[in-house]
Amino acid sequence: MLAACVPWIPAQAADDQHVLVLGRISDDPKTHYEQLKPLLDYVVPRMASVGIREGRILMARDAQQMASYLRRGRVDWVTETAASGVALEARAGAKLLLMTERDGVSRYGTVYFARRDSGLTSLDQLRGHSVAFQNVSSTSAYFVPASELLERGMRLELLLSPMDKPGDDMVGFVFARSELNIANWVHKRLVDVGAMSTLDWSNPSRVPPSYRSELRVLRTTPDYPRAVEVVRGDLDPRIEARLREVLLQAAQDPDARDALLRFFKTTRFLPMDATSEHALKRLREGVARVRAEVE
Amino acid sequence: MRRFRIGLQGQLLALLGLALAIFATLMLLLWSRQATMQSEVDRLSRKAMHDLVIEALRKRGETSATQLADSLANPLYYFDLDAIGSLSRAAMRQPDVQYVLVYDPQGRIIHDGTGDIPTYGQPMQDPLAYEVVRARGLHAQWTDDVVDVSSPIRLGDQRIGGVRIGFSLASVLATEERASAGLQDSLVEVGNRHRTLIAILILSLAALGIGIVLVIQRSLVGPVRRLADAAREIEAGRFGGESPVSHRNDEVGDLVRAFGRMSQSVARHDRDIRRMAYTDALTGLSNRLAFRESLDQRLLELRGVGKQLALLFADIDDFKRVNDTLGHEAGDEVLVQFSTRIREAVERLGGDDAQLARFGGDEFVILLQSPVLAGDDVRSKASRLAEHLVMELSRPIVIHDRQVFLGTSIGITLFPEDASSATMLMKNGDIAMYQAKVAGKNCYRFYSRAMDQAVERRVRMEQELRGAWERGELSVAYQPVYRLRDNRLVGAEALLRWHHPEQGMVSPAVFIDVAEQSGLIETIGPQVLRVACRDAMRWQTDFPTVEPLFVSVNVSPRQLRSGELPGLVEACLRETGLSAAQLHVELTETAVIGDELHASTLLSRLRSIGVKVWLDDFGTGFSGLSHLRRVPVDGVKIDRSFIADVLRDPDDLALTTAIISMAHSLGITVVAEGVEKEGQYAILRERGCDLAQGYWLGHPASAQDFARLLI
Repeated sequence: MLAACVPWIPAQAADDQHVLVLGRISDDPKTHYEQLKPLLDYVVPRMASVGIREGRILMARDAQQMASYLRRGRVDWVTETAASGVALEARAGAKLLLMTERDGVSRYGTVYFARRDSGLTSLDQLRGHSVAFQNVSSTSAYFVPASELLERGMRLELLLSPMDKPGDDMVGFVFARSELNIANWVHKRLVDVGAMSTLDWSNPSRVPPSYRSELRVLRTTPDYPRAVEVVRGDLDPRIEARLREVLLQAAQDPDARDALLRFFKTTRFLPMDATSEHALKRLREGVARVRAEVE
Repeated sequence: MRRFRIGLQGQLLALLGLALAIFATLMLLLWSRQATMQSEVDRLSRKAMHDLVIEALRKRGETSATQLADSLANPLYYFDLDAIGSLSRAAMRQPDVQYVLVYDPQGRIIHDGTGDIPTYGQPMQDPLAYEVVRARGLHAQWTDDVVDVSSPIRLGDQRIGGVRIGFSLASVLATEERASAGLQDSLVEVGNRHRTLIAILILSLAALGIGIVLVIQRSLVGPVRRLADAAREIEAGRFGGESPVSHRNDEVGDLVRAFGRMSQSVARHDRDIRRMAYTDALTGLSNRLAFRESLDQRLLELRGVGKQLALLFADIDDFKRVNDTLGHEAGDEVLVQFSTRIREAVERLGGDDAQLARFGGDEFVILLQSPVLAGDDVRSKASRLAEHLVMELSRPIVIHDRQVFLGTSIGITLFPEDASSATMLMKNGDIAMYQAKVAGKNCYRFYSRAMDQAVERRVRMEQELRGAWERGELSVAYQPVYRLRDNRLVGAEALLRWHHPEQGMVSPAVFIDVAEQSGLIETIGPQVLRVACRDAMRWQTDFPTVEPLFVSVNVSPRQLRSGELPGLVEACLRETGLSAAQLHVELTETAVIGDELHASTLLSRLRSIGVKVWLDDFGTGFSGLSHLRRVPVDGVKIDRSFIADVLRDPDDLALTTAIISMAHSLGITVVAEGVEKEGQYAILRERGCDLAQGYWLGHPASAQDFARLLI
């Protein structure tokens, strides 16, 4: 009863057919709310034809919680990174609705890098060395590189700290929390290799320019979608279709520009194409492998 | 040269200056003390502020470091450089934070707050690092420009690293500097106020000093100076100057008024004294002093102008006789009447410029200036006046119902012909007047160089006569005196002779007069007396006779007047052993006339000793026989002028005979002088004259020659 009185406690959205709930895995609800709300306010009036009269935002602490919300129908629409999207697809039966282009970039790859004086030139030399990933939900800096290493037959070992060393035939990995930490750790020789998205790699606030000359890129993976919009599996197909329609045409609607920009610098929504499907398929497999072999 | 002196005003100024200087010095000391105090205050406040600031920074630093260390524990544990960096940067954004360093337990830098952490892994090597690394708890230390606070980062009991926050003191110092500057400004402002105050004080004091000086100048120094100036005027004899006037009712006013009264009184006294000093009390004429000053003034004015002056010296002839015979009151009366006559004459003939003065005694001086009329020179004018005066003053004067006949002798000298100086003019006038006297009195004479020479000769003679006795130039000669009755030698008259080394024998008539006038006679006379007594004694010793020879010695009027004659005579007689009866003293009439009472007394004394007194040159004086009654004498010597004509002139014979008979009737011896012929001798003998002397009887001879007569 108490929960019902508190506005942000998720209501019985699924039961309420005229409410559209936008979800987001967030550790900073306060900030993200402001980012999500304008787009929701843009979308909801345009969904009236399918009975949507109200929009709500629901944020989950982690993927498990979001998966739970999706399963229980508490959330209708979630915007997520690619890996998280496929994970929710696998865990909560969600459906990938659209690709999201942010800041003009709809796809990117993952870059592996090491110090030039580390002697490492290829991923194959990585046994007995350590790798820094970002966190467990990162697509470009965890799922993609980890799954690729596993694919190459390497066994991953979670290290206690960056100073920790892996066994000789293992590849030690550690979560650095931020791209800057990854760059720092590699540069400061705390870890041997770092992995992050091509986008972060070329961002000077993630990789200080002074480091760049001392680092060497070991490999760059093929591109994969940057972000995806996900809807719950049992969402009313009319609502799903209308939502896709509204989002796809938002890029052409001047009224939506501001809301899109606020929405994590989204520039447009794209329908899935074959390349993306393929990339997502690989990602789906990689995530499954990481789940299976590492976690 | 006037000595440098500091007046009242100067002293006052110096005193004020000194006071001002002392005050100014004290003020400057105060000022400098204040400046020192200001810098002290500045220093202390700066230090206090600094300490406060450091303390505040330290506390703040400790708080920040503690909090930061707490925040950093987890990121450091996970080596989350990103988080550490964010926290560090957040800390660094705090004001005054200069650096934030996160380090491991060994003191190696893990993070320095920058993006790329260039110092990563390097041990901290700054001077403060040693203590930081060793510190096990919160630690603060500071240098001149940084306060360093470090805190360990703990996980439980484990120290996993530390964090240092460096607070820059730059802004603090700037703040301090600003505060200090503000304080300094305030102090300077206070100082300025004080300086203004001091300046006002000093100026006030200076103004006060100037005011006092002005007041004292006006009220004291000025009046005193004016008084001093006025006193100097009076001191210099200028009484005409205006004496200072004051209407003030204080001591200075009293002083000024008293000074005014005093100066008037002094001027009055000066006038009186001047009048007394320049006026003759008896006649009311100018006196010698006034005349002398006037003459000097006149000469000064006339010098170079070409004008002439005549100086007339008028001396009443025989005025002394009036005083002697009629008394001094009569003499004064005569002088008053004479002066009236002279004044009238001068007023009539002298012209406007003429000046008349009485020179004391019976001397009058007249100054004439060359007349205005051309052709009438001062000489003729002077001679006219002199002629008139001689005539006018020879008229008889009635004194005490008696007619007195007097004359006047006038000497005239001219300027600039005779002399150019006042002294010389007066001397010349005197000489000319004397010559008038010599010329027979009751006449006038102009000065001439010849007169001057005569006077000069006389002066030279006087000088040469002085000491002539000691040099042996003077000698005593003896002229034999015979008794007519039995034609026997009975005595000798001692006569003084002067053998001048250059001029030979000098006439006694000349040098005796000089000796008399100059007073030399008073030294020569006693010598003659002594020698005469000695020679007479020798004659008696060598040639004893039944009737001892007498010696007669001439005594001058001056000797008689001195009163020492009886004593001297007694002494000579005692010395030589000559009997008093053998010494005769000869006196002229004029010697006796001066003071008959005195003369009588002296002569009586001489006669009481036994010395005989003879009256010399009898018959020439004008008092005549009447004196014989009053003056006690033993004999008279008939003047040679009577004897010379006794053979030719029956009057002289009659007079001589009368003198002889009259003398005999009085019991007085009669001596004839100047017997040069046998006839004279015979007739005198016939008439009963007692004694005679003369060339026919014997010339004057030296003592030795005379002695031969006795053989």
